[in-house]
Amino acid sequence: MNMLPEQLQTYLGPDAQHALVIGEEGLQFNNTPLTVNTLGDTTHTNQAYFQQVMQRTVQPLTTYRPADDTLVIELAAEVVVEQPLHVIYVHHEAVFRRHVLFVAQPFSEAKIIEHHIIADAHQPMLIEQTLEVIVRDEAKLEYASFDAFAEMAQLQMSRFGIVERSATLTWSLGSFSSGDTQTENITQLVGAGATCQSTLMTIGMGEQKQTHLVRIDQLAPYTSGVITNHGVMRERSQGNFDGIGFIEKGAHQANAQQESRFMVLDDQAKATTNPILLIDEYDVTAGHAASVGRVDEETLYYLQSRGLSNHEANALVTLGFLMPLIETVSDERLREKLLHVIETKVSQHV
Amino acid sequence: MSQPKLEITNLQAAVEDKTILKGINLTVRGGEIHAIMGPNGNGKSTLAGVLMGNPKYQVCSGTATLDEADLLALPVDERSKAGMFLAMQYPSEIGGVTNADFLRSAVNAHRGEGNEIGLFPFVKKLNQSVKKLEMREDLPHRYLNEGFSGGEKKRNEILQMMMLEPKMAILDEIDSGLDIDALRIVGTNVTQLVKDREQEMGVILITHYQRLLDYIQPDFVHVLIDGQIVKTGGPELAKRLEEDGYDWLKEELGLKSLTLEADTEETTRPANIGACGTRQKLGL
Ligand SMILES: Nc1ncnc2c1ncn2[C@@H]1O[C@H](COP(=O)(O)OP(=O)(O)OP(=O)(O)O)[C@@H](O)[C@H]1O
Ligand SMILES: [Mg+2]
Repeated sequence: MNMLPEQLQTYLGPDAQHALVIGEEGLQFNNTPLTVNTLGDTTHTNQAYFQQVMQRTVQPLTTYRPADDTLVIELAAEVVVEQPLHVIYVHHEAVFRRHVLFVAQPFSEAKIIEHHIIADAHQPMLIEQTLEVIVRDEAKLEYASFDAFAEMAQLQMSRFGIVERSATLTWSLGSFSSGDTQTENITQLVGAGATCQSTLMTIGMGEQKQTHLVRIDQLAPYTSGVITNHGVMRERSQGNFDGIGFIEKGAHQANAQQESRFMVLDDQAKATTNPILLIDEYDVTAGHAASVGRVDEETLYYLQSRGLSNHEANALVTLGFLMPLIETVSDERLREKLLHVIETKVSQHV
Repeated sequence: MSQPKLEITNLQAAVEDKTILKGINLTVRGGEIHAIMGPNGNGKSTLAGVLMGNPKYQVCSGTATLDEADLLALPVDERSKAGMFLAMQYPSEIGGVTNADFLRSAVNAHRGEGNEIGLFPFVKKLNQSVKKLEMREDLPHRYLNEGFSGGEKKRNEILQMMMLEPKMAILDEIDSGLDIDALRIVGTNVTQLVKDREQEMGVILITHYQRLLDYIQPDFVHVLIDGQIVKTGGPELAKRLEEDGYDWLKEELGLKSLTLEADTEETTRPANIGACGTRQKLGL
């Protein structure tokens, strides 16, 4: 059974079932189990709860702009959605500022895939997005967002997650746009047994500057926070990963892991990683790995000895470097799309 | 159908300013199998690496041609496309790249743009080769050499050779790490491939042991000592070496103990050591 209009079906693929389009003309629901309100709508039953959550958010997020027109997207309690829920933003204006609050109510389960469509790719644009994701008790949410805008778009993405008791939030993030990019992804594990897994991958090219901050605060016992960042810097691009794992006192049996790696392909490309573990509790497991490396000469020689050009060999190794992260993306169509974006980016000639 | 010819004349090469190859002369034609033997550290892998174009070696003088191609003037990938293949003594491990994807890229690089192999014929050929080599069926779908056992890596090198169908294949200690069955499987496959391709592929087999030569009958056996081929014979030469080692040969040739010779060379002829690498660095 399929109820998406043709245009969306073409964009999302034949298997897509649920879509929410957020554009200039307002909202368009296509067979989604989601409900949408604005924060200004005071009749909303969860109003008090949202206010309380916002209090948490204000401090760590640098670009925080809650407003009456903040969209509140909700997945009702105990609703389990098998197929991905596509949330599509359509950008017309030169400046885009949007604040979205996504709530997965208790015992709900879904995979969200965020899309952005730009009307005019040649027009300079500023995109500032703040997203809050709240995963309530025992809920499971996967949130995937991969941007690949043209050079004219400047991006500033702030994402904030709150994960309650025994709930799971999985971030699958990819930054493949060509303009300067700054993202922050902060998740708080506030309930016992809450889990967050965050993967972020990126490719830097040209003169691009990219900086990504990923932070998981573990504020309750039995929580697990795993951060994986892989970046590839080409040409004269600059990349930076800040990875922060924080475990509060009393969050016993918590597990915090992080891995931040860059592969630098060209002499003038630069990359830095700043892994930080802040732990205020004895009874925990924690570990981090960070590296900035180049493609090994022997490896290149090996691949070239089988007929691959220097460029092809580099592209293959780069793809291989990102592959373990690509493989964590659960939706097959998204994975293929992603592979295509990455293949195109790594095989572009300098 | 043509019979390729690899011709090496007076090849000298260095690593890290230390001259290793001191004038190699060797001609290998399609259909021929040449074994190269010799004590550890005398330049066998260096010869293989120089022919394939490993950037860690500097060529000082001499020539190497495969048919009309001047190998030493070509980048590594062009040598491969010209028909050279080297099964490496220590193959690299590459995470995130599946064996099958890599092989397909390699096969397509050889075929050139617009002439890519179809998925179906590729998979068919891959499966056939995997079967012939009695490899585990999941190996093509695993990451290239990552976590492969020593023997699996070696078999994987032969798999690549079967897929790429080179004109001239150098197999550097392909027998090390192979168990008894794998040795037979690899040996008979190499022999079969040379036979099947009639005169189109020549093989240089670098090995320490007769056990491999039981399965791959060489036409010629060369002994490489201190950067030179000091003796050439037939299969009987390998058998003699297996039984008696290298001492009799060194005696016959009037060579001193090798370690001792290296020492004297360093003290009595310091100007020669590294001369080649230095020359190249200075662009002379
Ligand atoms: N990077 C390097 N720096 C200095 N010396 C090197 C380097 N690489 C190789 N050599 C030296 O070059 C010499 C020849 O090495 P090669 O690998 O060709 O030997 P081989 O005949 O293949 O030995 P084996 O039978 O052990 O494989 C050795 O003495 C080795 O130590
Ligand atoms: Mg060797």
